[in-house]
Amino acid sequence: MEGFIDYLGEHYLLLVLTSGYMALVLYIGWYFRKKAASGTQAFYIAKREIPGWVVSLAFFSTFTSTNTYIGQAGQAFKYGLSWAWVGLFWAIFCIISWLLLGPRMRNQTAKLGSCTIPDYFHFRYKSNISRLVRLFSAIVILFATLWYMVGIVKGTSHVFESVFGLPYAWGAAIIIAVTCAYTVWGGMYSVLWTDAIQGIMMFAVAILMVMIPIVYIGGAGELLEAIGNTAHPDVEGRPIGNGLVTFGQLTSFMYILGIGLAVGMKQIAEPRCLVRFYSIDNTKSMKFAMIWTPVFLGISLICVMGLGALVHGMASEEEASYLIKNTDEVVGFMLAKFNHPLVSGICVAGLFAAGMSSLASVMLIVGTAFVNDVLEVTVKVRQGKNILFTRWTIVLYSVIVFLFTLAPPANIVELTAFSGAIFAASFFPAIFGGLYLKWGTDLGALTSMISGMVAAIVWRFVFRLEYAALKDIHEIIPAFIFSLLVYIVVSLATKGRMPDKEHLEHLFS
Amino acid sequence: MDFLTAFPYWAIIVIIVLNAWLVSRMDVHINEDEED
Repeated sequence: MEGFIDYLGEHYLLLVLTSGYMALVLYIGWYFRKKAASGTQAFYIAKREIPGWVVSLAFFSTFTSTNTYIGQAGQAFKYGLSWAWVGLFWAIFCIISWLLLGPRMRNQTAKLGSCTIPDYFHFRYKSNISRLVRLFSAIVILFATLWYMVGIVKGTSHVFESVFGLPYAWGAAIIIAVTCAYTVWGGMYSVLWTDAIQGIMMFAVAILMVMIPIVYIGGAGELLEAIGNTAHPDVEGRPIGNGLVTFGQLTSFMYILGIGLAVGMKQIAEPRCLVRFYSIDNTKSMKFAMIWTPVFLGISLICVMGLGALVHGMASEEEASYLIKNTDEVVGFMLAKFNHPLVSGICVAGLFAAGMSSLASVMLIVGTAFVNDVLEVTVKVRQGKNILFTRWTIVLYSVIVFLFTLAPPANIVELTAFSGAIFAASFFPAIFGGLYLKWGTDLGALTSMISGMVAAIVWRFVFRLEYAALKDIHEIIPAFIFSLLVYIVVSLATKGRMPDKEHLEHLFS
Repeated sequence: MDFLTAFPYWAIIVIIVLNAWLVSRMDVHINEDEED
């Protein structure tokens, strides 16, 4: 009993802030449960009636995750302030996504009555083959998403474990259970509204985090001076010197370019981001989101992407020697060193928000893909049962994720990145072609999907892992280019398979 | 900090502003009354 009271005394602020946050997201899920249950369109895409600021913040919080706030922030400890180049590429891809895909996707999916990315492929290309594309893409989502979810839960559970001192499995169970509950209750309504709140928290936490090393040292100038020439060792044990503030000294630009392009390309083809466009309510909202989403993302990335380099100013040489090999622990180290319960509590709640916002989005994607695009296409779901089945799918998939999280594969980060490459290479040409190229065909979509996936696998296992000179060229880049070329060539060669003129005119009007 | 290290920080600000300027001049239209 005494130990429990001591524990409460030590962690009360963290417990209050985190419990308050979790209670809020659960309340939002519960609040929307009746509205979400009013029909498939409501549960899947919130009836396309969500204001622009909510979708904008939801897109931002889905685009970034714990990987950004912990993993990428920590990378700068190893690679210096130049790591922000990766953030620049992400910001550019976010803008491209909203400019090129946002308005068209919203309009075309409404015209087609599409609720998911796979059914968009089916209705857009309108044939028996496009029905196969729908099924195939849903299966890709079901398999590729699992590793992403395990990676997110693993990262967030480690934060839980380190700040609360509770077992890792408890953290995983609590995070999955809370996220699953509000997603199952409120469907897309609760996912978007909780994402928006999580987006606000993440934006504030990004600014707060970058202030920590500055306040700790006593000013931005003093901090830059401290990290400008340091005796801390780099990954090979040599003194970093001015490497943290000098371009290209701690890593090659090719490596930064590869990671930046890989993640950026992945993000613009990820169903969890694309489906955000479906729910926006009107022109004013669309314009708002097109302007403000890059603002939320860009400013957060400015704060977060170079953070690790700044933490050198807070670390001793011994601590830096450890952190350079364990960059995922840099943010945790920074919070522990700053040792301010309120600041730590707010940051931890923000890190949970970062993980849960991405997790909820993919939970819904998985549930809708299985029921709407696998069951509906193969065995037909009884009328009125779609929402019930979707809810159960989310619950069962969450249990599977939990089991994998207890013993995650050693290379989970690589698996997550690889699944992202599969999404980008196999989905983007069919989506972009569907939105812009009237002459795009169902066969073009199917072959580009298959060839994108094959190219990603071949490049990774036959070339990238075998030849040192190619290790910095992520599989997403050749696979993306190859699948786009296949889409164009096959569509031009099978022009006779274009949907009827009336259908295309309706879509492109 | 050298020019290329500082570049991404201010470049993000520049592209955000350029994007806002571009979108404010773009003709965006969302069909609110479209049949689902």
